[in-house]
Amino acid sequence: MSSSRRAVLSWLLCAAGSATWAGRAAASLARPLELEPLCAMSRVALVGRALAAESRWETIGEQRRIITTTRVHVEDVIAGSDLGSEVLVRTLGGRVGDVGQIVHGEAFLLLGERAVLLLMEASGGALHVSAMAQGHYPVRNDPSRVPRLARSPRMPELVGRTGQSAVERLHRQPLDEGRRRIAEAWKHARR
Amino acid sequence: MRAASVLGLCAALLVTGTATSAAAFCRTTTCGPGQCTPSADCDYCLEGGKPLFWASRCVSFSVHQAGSPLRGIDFETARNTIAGSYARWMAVDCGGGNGPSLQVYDYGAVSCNRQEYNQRVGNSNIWMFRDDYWPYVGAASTLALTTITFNVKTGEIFDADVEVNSLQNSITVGDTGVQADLDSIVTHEAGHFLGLSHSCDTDATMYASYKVGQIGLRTLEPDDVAGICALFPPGSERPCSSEPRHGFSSDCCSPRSLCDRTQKDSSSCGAAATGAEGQSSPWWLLGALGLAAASLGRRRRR
Repeated sequence: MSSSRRAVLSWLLCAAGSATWAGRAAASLARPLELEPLCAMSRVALVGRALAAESRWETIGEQRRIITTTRVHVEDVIAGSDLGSEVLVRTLGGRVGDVGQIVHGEAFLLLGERAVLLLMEASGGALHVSAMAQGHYPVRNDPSRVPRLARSPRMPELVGRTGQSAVERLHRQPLDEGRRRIAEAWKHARR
Repeated sequence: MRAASVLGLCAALLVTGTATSAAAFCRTTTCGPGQCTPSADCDYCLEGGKPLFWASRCVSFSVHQAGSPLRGIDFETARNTIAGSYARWMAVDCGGGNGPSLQVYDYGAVSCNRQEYNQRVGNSNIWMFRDDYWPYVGAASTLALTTITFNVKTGEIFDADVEVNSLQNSITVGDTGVQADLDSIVTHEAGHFLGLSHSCDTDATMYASYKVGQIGLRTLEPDDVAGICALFPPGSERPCSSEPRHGFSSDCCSPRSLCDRTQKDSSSCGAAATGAEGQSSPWWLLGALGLAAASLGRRRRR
């Protein structure tokens, strides 16, 4: 095991001891997106907290799926459009009655958890997490109580890592540094 | 007709490890957005929900009949690749030469190419290629998407479907000119299909990431073996029925009104509501409405 991987695991183990919420990295496979393209496809990057969620069956591309709409309180807009104090974010999966659906690779917003979200707007105005789980970074305190960005609980396996992907550039960064990197990439993406 | 075959019979040639080493694997659970806490050992393995499981010791999979013409992957190639990945999982040694107590049946080609779970009529656990469209917003970078439908109270898996994004990604087969290697993709996704999430063992296939052009996820590592053996311990006595829930269907269900138990869709998160398995079927309601209409007609005629 490389020293960098040991370091990552060490931090993860420490983070697990904190009282913050976390998720499970169940995943499908995806190509890693770099931060600028991720910003380019997004309408807003924000720090928010999931307040409530509601799921329902919907038809997407002729497929009947459970969709969850999560109400997110916007603490701060890092870049992009100011959409007000709350936004509604749609994700695949959820539970309706006794039936649940897990979509490996999709963002999974835990209620009460603070997160950095990069959101894009679909036709009809609904907000989705950009590139599924690649646009979702839970904020968790490290043992020194420094808020840092974590990977989304159901982050897909990222095929073809480059060292420059958004996940690699943001994961484990202090929140302030993560915000700075996103703001900078946002500007570059729109030049 | 479907060509059912027990993959485990031929899988002995593909044994890749034993269940004697690390145990960092993570089972997929029923966790909802407000219910779970991270594992003490691994911050992305949630605890608090119920582990997902296949109730029967026999499960089946199907492959959409078209394969991926766009990527030059015909049905038989796709089917053989997918069957081979399940065989790899079923061929592991859980100790004493015993394998996992699960048999995976190949149900062959299906005409349905939708991810769907029908609450009232037949289903199939489908692997399908998306050559023409990828319906998920902002998800062009996704190579494959696995959807597991389950009972939130028990964790029983009802249905599992895998969609491969062949439209937006160069999926390849074979050992030369490898880009996004289909065999690696399906081996990893099959782990999810069977009930595993990501492992915290960096060497595991259920953890590993790999570079485009490599075939590293084709093989299973000791932690993957430990995971599948924990899910399906040898000697576990469970009934064998490889039929998907509510029976096997090659066709997509249509119209939707005939497929599910209810027409009402919404519910609050975590609250008992519409669409639940086990709730009374709308046929009852339709029947009652029919009787009421007939009764009304008789009264009017009187």
